[in-house]
Amino acid sequence: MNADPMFDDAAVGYIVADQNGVIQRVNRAFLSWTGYEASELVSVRRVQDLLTAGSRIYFETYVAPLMALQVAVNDVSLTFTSPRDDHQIFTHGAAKRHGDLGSITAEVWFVLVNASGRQHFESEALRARLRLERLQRLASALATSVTAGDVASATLAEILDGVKGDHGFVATIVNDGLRVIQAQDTPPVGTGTSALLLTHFPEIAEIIHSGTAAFVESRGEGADDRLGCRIDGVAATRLAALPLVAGGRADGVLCVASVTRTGFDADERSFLLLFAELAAQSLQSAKLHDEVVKNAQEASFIARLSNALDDVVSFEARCQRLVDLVVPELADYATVENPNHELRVIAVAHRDPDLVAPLRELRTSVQVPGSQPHSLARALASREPQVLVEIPAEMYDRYDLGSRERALLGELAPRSYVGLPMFARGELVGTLMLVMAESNRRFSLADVPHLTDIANRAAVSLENARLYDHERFVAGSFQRELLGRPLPRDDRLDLRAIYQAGGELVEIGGDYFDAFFVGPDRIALAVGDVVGKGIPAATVMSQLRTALRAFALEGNGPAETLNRLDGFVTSIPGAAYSSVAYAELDLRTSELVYACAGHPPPLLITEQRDAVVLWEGRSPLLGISQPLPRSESRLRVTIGSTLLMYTDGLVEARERSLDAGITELIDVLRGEPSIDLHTLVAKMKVSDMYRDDICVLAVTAVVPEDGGLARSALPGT
Amino acid sequence: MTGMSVRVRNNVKVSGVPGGQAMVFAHGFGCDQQMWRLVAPAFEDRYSVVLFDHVGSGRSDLSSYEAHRYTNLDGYARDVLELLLELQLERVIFVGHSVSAMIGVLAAIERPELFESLVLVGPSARYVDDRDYRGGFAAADIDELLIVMSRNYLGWSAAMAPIVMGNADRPELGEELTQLFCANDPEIAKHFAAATFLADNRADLPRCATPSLVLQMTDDVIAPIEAGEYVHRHLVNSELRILKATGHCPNLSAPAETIAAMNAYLAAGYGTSAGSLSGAA
Amino acid sequence: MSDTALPLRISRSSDGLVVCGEVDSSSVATLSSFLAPLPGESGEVVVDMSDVAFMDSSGLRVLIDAHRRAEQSHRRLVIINPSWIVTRLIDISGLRDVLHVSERR
Repeated sequence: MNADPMFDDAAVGYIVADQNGVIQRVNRAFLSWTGYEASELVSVRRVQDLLTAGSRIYFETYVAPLMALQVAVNDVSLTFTSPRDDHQIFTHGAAKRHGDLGSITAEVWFVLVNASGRQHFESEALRARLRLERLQRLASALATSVTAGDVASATLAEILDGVKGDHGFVATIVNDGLRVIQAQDTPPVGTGTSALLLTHFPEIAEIIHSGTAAFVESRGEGADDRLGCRIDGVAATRLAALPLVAGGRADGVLCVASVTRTGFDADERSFLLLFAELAAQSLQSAKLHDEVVKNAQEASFIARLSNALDDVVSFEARCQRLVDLVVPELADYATVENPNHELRVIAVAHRDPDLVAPLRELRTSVQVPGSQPHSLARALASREPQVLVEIPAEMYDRYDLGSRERALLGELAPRSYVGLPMFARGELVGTLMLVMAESNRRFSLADVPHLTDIANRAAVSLENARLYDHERFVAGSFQRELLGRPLPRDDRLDLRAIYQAGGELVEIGGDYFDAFFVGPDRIALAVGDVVGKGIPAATVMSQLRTALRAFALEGNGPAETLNRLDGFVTSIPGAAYSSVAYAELDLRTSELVYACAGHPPPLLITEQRDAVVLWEGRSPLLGISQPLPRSESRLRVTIGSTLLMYTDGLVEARERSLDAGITELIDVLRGEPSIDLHTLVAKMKVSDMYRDDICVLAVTAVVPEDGGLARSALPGT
Repeated sequence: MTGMSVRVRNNVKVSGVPGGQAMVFAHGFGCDQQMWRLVAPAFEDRYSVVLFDHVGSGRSDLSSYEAHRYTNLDGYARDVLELLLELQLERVIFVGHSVSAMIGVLAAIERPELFESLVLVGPSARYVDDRDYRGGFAAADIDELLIVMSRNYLGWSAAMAPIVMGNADRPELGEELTQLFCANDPEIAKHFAAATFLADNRADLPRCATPSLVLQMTDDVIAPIEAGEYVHRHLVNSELRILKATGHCPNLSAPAETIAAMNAYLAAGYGTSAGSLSGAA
Repeated sequence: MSDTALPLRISRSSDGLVVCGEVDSSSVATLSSFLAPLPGESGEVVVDMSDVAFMDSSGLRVLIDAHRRAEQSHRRLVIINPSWIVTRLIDISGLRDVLHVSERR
């Protein structure tokens, strides 16, 4: 081809290439810009080979397809590299295809203007524009950020994008530890789960305190482990740690790390510092907001806790409520334990219902004396909460655990731990153990005040329940002991008794009954009612019952026995004003002698269901100040008759006077073919929230097989 | 997907044999479905040919673009599956160019029953070098690409305006030139560039069992031969075919060779038997 | 407390109390608080129980207790106009001769 001055001497660069980009002709302007010899290029190199990598991708993915599709492309920026000194030539130009696509003779003409002079200005303008756009985006994102988490994630999104970071996090100082507010990974390098562990980067705390940003660089794997940080198992190549300073105080840090790029240039550094400053200011107000919200949430939790706990009565039920309430909101799993309690592991809860049983099994088995986890033991000993922000994997190596325990531990995978002793009135009520596992959350020292509040509030409630349980237990066992003794057996008698507590939540009352032989043919029967409820009443009842037996066995007879008892009750606090009905039935003579001290009258029901109310033999309640003459009454009982003694709970109710109650009782008895005490009590019950204890004793004289009542001797023999 | 139909969202065009086995063509980074204009017609006599634009490219619905959905290739793969489901296509032959090769692999891993075979034109599982792996680029090169793209988009509205050429023998070209080819929104294009060139789908390859044809070009500066061989080695059921064509876009620069290679593969029963032998690495 | 319950109302009179409504274990503390300490400085404590619709043994025990404290301070607790239910309760408990019960005066 002949020399063409318009081609060779032009001030613009010309390149003619075949359709694959192989250079056919190139002019002097382009050669002088780049420093190539024509012989190095013509028929040897392709246009795209001369480009920088970024421009080459752009050329292949945009320019080449466009050339194929539409013949010409205008207004294209391409950057070439010089083979001599590696410098870059920025060009601006157009390209045009001559000839049909696919034809061997087709050519592509490039016309290029050297834009290197404009490049610096353009780059600056571009960079400034990008940064401004980013700044505007961040500013508007921060303006709508309410929580510290919002602020952190908006900042991280812009910063990771802005400096091509692979991982970043924002953390604040809480007490003397760091708490990560937000961590973010850039896909696809991170999988979104990588966490840069702070414990592996001790310099961060120092950086925050110094208030000076640090830019650290490592030349990759194994070269320099100063970063001490790995992202998804890959060593970081560079890391920027920027203290977040607001109001003259650094109380947080923003970290950005990469695993591929090295170093931060001056531009990136100034960008990071500017954005960190912006974030720090927003973070300060967001943290105040978070604090207010957190306080309100904590107060509401305590209120919910109080209501939920007081809603149930027993100690175990309250323990279960406690763990059910803290899981999963405050912990992944929780237990209430007390080495002195018969159950030891009193309540367990796990956010995964399938892990409740393994948790219970593990906690129960490691409670074997001597192998108790040390933190729990320490919490008990010190009475202080124990916090393990990060449970070291090797911690359990120190315990003598069997393979089963290890398997359970592996399943539960505890990561972070708080043990809170619960003391009330100086007594250990139990230990609340909170553990983070699968949720990947961690406890921090900042959580301790709130958790301690919870433990203290729970302790009071649990202690009340424990005392209540204890009282119920003692009173209940008293009553069982006293009332559950077998009644005397004799084939001349059908002796039955029933005791029914007023209600589940009502304390044990002071009703009692007794039946015992005072002679070979003489049976003593007593039903009484002691003032008050609970343990005090049960204690008085037991003393009174013993005294009554003693006086009766002396052979005093009903009136004198009550007289003696009168004297006795004045010496027993709480025994005064007790009522009692006492009777002795002589099985030989069929004579019944009875006396009532302020007690509802016994009933005598004949075999024919005729009822007699035994209104005689009455005297006042026991323990009335003046010594009183006690009276007694006697009558003869026919075979098949039943003597019914009871406490006022059977007949008395607000809706029904005592007399009406007795009348109703007689009606019920008349309608029954046999006297079943359970049925009787059920029929006499009225719908009334207030219900007294009910105690009924029934004795029926029956004909024994030998045909007579007398055991020792028949009358007159 | 709710609201807009996938047909509108992805500017879907269907031609060829109605109801026939579907051949779905997916364009790569940088252009749109026009990339296939020299290849797709060759299959219209035997297949139902489906063309579409990725969201953010060509004439797709730009309002459907959500940055978070498309931060990586999974979002694009989900779009492909939604497209197949809406068109009720099964056992399709998926032809993916450049980044769409990996998009097809991801979609086939998710719903293998929808794919008969994959034709991967210039695939790369990772563009950035990583220790022993050669993808062809350094991370900094991708940074530069984004800068180059920004510079080219400084005057974007006019940038791609075609120079109208008098082309008497190809009048249809003149008409088409009044359209904007590959006129992609610059911001979306940059996000797509990042999603494409920073992707690492190496770990996904062994999870794809769909018979695949890897078409590797000679001297492709975007996807070097090592990248193509890597894809072939790690796809369990693939066949590798090296084209004489150079550059990254044989669908434009060497359509005849591309078509022939595809036909040969399809004629061999979609490569099921051949692929299992050569891909047993 | 059931819907049928009549509330306990106690008012002070010149020489003691007027008790109306129902005295049971849920309301007995109120009666107790009116009688401890005993109303007035000296002389009789008059408790009008004409409008007591119900009373059980717990109410009675408060009365006995007040009665005993009155005697210890050389005073008298007098129950006047006891309703039928109160009379019955006093009788059953054998307290007719212990407590000072007086019909209308």
